[in-house]
Amino acid sequence: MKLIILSILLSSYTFAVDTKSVLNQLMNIHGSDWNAIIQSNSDKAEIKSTLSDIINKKIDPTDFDFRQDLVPDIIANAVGEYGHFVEVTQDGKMTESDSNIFKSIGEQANKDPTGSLALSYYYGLQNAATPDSLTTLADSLDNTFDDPSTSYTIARNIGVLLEGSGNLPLDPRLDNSHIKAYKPRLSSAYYNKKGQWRESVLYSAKKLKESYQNIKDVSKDESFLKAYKDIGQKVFDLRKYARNTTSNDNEQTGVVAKVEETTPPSNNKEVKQRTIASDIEKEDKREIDSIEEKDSYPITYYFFIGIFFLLIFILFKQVRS
Amino acid sequence: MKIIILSILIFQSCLKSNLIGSRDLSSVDSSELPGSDTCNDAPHSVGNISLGGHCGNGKLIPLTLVFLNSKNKKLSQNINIDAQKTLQVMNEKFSHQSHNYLKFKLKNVYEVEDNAFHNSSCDGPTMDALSERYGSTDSMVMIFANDLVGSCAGVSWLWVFPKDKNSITLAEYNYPFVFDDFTPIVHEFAHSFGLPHTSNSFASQSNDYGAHSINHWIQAGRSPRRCQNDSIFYVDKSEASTSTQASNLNWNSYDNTMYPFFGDKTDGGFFTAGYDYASSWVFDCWYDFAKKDF
Repeated sequence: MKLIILSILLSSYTFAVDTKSVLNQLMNIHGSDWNAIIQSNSDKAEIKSTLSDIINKKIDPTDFDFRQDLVPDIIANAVGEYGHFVEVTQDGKMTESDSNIFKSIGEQANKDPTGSLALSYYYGLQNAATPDSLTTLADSLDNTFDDPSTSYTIARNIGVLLEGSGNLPLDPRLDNSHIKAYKPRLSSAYYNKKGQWRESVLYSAKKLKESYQNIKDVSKDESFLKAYKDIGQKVFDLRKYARNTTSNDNEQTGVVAKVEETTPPSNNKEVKQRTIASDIEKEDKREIDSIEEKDSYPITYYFFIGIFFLLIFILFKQVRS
Repeated sequence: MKIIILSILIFQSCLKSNLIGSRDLSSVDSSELPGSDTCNDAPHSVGNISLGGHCGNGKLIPLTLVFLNSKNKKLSQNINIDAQKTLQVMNEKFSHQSHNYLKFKLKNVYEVEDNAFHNSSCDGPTMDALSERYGSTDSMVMIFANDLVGSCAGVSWLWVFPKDKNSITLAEYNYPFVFDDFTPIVHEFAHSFGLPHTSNSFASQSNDYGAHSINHWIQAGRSPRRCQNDSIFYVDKSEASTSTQASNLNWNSYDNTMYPFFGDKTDGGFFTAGYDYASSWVFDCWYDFAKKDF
């Protein structure tokens, strides 16, 4: 009997989430593998609490044999991972305590908006995947308007937040293929989640468009601009699900309407909102079209076509003579 | 008209002879694979590998290092100094029992502005895109990025070598050159040599891919078969004892593997006790590349 009890105790000890196991996952070379240590809901709560303590420096990783110079990196990783564990209120926003943690980190991150902590902060906001984290993420673009790579990173975060990363298939060609992603808040697109999404989705699309215009002035790298535009286009496409819902829809069960299933507006305010939204959409569409038109026929294309026909003409003349 | 036709014919022959475009190893017959006619094909076991023996001395495995800058941030102050440091650490960490059986050389070192991948992801599509841009068939490639998404410090894209003709590894620049911790670099390259994580945590779903398990590869010893384009492999937990029988190794032990975590290990966080190149089938492929002396 003693042996059985001892075995049970040992096995529970093996699987218990403790500070060391959380720190190890933050320094997993291929990214945190939370599923490997989560056995129950209490484990999730324990991980969240430990992450919070690491972020607030109540836990010192050097007490667990981690190198001092890696501590800032460990904290930054904790910020990014914390997003997976946020809790939401009835309106889909982060709880006050979670929101306060991000506000506190945001103040530090904004001092160096392209730094390592800031990048983790954006990633954490993406993982939280709430309307308020989306708005904050979109606002962050203001701080990086002249930095193409960080703006692109935030744009990518916005895209993932809206679209959700789903359950991506494991790719055996990667050495991290054994890690089954733990992304509860990103398991579906925003319009399948409860919350008042409309305003923040429209706002993020608007900010992203502004950001793209800024980046076009900063970078002339065509392949980069195309990649940036592709993300923008995806966000524009996803925006329609928010556009075609009313504020009341959002307040109830989340944005689930599809374009063709839009409920007719029931009051003048909504009609007005829709008209404005429709106008913005037309305006955006025109803008995207003009960009695509420009990109589809670059000057180099005409140049090479011209050179080709010129060569053909010269060769033809030579053969004839 | 004759000139035009002649030009077309010359262009086509260049295409066929790979003078234009890159060589796709996945379409090459196994008998034509680099080095398949060279090394000793006899099965081996731990202790039986000839250190610096059969495959010749003095050949170096070529490394390509790529530094991804952004418009506003240059990763390295001096890429040549960083490259020399990488080379030094690689030669040091891959020495075996004070014997430099595996040695490296720098084939290509360059930096480039790439705003889309300056901050990168460790996922398949990203690695696929990076391998298209910066991959190489004639050297082991390490790409240094500013930041990798989430807690990821490095990733290796080499599990189907040489099916994916452009194999690459990716790591955050800060770890080796700011924190002076080369674990992610050595770790990722060691994956490229076929080394899994401790406790089989590297194993993917067994038998999902219809390929041989690493246990089989160990049994097979050196064989051109291991460089074929269906070389997806995994550690088959159900056959753990096979490797024991084949080479006195136990894949469920801490032998011959790498820790998946770092930052708190006295040995720098990579090779656990018992590491031996004899178990690394991919090593043979790369070593044959080295022998070609690209």
